[in-house]
Amino acid sequence: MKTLLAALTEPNRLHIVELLRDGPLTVGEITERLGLQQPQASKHLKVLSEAAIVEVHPQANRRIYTLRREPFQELEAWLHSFRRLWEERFDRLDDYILELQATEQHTSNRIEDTNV
Amino acid sequence: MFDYLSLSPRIGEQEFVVERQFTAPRTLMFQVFTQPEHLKRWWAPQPYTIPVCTIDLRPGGIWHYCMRSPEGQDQWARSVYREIVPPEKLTYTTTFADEHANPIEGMPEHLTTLIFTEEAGKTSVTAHVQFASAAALSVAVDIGMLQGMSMTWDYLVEYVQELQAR
Repeated sequence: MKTLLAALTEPNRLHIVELLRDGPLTVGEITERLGLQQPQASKHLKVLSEAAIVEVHPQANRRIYTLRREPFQELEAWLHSFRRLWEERFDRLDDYILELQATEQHTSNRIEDTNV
Repeated sequence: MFDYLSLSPRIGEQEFVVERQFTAPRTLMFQVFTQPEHLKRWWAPQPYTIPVCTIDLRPGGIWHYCMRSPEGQDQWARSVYREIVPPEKLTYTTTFADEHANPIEGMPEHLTTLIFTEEAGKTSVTAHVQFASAAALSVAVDIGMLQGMSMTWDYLVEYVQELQAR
């Protein structure tokens, strides 16, 4: 996932990945949608390919690029664990609120006792 | 193709939302999120503690705290408040800092929005966490922000040196 994010800090590469989320594309289609020169697009695709973010399937005389699933699953798992941190924090807060309320209850009982 | 619902369509701008309902009025909930004596008691995940926590509750004000591991390793964080609407809303950006609340250069920030809504004596707290860029996420991942808590200073120092060497 680190490789994924590092590769995506370059705006054109980020754009390529976003295009590929909608489905496979040829180099020609990617080049056209990005408004780049083909050598530039190929250079970015090479980086993405080496980082195992995309894979290429030759089809007749065309090269079709698709996203690989794994780096995205890792990203999702990481976000999920950050989320879990918040869940744990909320658990602890829940206990703390109960504790606060118990203390408050105890204090007000004592005041009532004193009044009697 | 990729239809992971929890992943943002813009990969570099990931975010998530966590919500919980508490049986307490929201004025109290707002206090436990904004007063050091309360935060020290619950903010750190077990078994971490918060020996130091200072808060300047105003837009642009700083919330600075230290999280201590059972081994005695300290990790400081600093948040800057953006919006404060008691007892409804709180937004702040967070990053790692030193013990004087100077942010550590090269560290990413993430934005947290807390919304408190009260109904029939119960308060829902919604935490919305956003990473602004792939770069921010990348650094966050690097330093293991999540296991965040297990991050050591050695690792952090090494990481910052590496950043500066680039």
